[in-house]
Amino acid sequence: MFAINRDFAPPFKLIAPYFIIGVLFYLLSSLFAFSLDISSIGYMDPSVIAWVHIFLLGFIMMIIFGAMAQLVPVVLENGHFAVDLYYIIWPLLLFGTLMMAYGFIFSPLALPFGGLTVLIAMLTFLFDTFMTIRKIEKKLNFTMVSVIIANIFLLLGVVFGIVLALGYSGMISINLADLLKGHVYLVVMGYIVTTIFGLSMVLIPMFGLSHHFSWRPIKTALVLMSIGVLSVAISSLFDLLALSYFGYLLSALSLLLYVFQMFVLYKTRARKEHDVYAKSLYISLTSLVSSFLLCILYLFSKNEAMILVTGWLIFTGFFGFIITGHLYKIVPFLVWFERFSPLVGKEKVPMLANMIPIKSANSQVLFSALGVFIGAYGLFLSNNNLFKVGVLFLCVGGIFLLRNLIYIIRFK
Amino acid sequence: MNLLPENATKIDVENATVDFFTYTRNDVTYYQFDTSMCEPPEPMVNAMIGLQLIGSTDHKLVMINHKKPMGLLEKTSQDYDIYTEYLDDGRIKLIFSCKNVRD
Repeated sequence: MFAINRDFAPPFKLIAPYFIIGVLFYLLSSLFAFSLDISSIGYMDPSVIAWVHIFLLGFIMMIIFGAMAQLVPVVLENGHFAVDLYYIIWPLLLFGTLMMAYGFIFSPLALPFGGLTVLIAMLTFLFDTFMTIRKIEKKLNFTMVSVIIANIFLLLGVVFGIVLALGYSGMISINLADLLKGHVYLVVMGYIVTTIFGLSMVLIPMFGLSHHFSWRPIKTALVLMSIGVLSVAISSLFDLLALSYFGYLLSALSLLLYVFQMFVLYKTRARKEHDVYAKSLYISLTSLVSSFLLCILYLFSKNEAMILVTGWLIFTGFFGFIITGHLYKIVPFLVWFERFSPLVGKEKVPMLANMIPIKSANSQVLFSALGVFIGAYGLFLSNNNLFKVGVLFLCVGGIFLLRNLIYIIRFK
Repeated sequence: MNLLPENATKIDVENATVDFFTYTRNDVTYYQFDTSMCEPPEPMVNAMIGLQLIGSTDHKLVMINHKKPMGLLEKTSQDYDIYTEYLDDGRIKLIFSCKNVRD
């Protein structure tokens, strides 16, 4: 009844490691945050960079890659070029991330090797994605365009990253601060945020049942973000300060338009239920809006703590909750598809909501949200104890998340 | 917006997660269900169960959904004629009939 080519619907055993490892890294990054002494660190401190890489590569990229194994065929309306490549991407990304974290904390010499391993993982991912993009015969839609742009930025970001790793370990002489700016922007804004733009417009209307809404805000947001990222990347190569500020401004406007698009989807949704998915999205967007306000505060105060708080809110709040929220939809669907879809019409099958441990999922949202906002307040005050309380809540949220993921995967 | 005719009666359909109704028009028996308030995979589940009701040529299945169910259409278009109509409120109405049945 549901016979579908595996290039279109990869087996769950291929995708499951991405989600399990991603959530383990979420927990690991929270535990690692206990070691940060926020009263004395800046955003260029090796321990902060190590935390950022554990969180970005181990948690965010791992889960995005896993989700893309399933979503690339849906979004691009073509089967994967070589879906089996996903069997080698996660081990490479896992090993590379661990080695990079080790390099930042203990030995910079490990960085190029970790960076190279991550580079191979990402190039493998990009190879499959671009070869799948080549198969598109239809007119490109918004999500297809955003996937293409995001992956071009990822490729550029990885190249910047490997040059940075060589410079950081002393193998070549470069301006680390300038290139870092381009690397961060290409990967975080260029890849992660652009991917979120594209996938949000597929997944959020699908689960919120929104229709008859305007696409103009998100389309404008994509154009502004693309120009903004290119501006910052070029300014990092040629030391053009004015161009970088132009890029920051366009990116900020782009994110504001994204928030407005989410509001449009919220107002046009048919499904009014405030489930764990909806709550996660509310917290994610609240974090994003809060980070805007802090950026404005930074412009007036020039207090570096504001940069740390903004980064914390965007990473653990905006990215963290939009990803964990979607795990409560994507993972049950994949498990359902593999385990229960063959039974449709023959016996009663569970729905996605039945596969989620509601109390435990709500606990995860509560503890993680407390962790994000108390941690942010601790960073804002440069108060180590308050920050550690936030981190403790984040750890408890991470344990709930892992427990919930295992519950969903083992659901029978 | 109520899309059911006055002579529609509710029927029990095993394992369905939404209400099913039946009515007759021009000697054709229609089965109708509304999954426009359901998230995936509920529309597909009910459609696959509903399609089991229209084995004969004088039966049709009417599905009201939030949007065009692309996966479902891909899976069923070989065996069924599928008429689609966008409703004024943004929902979509699909009428499934066996390949040799004419509207």
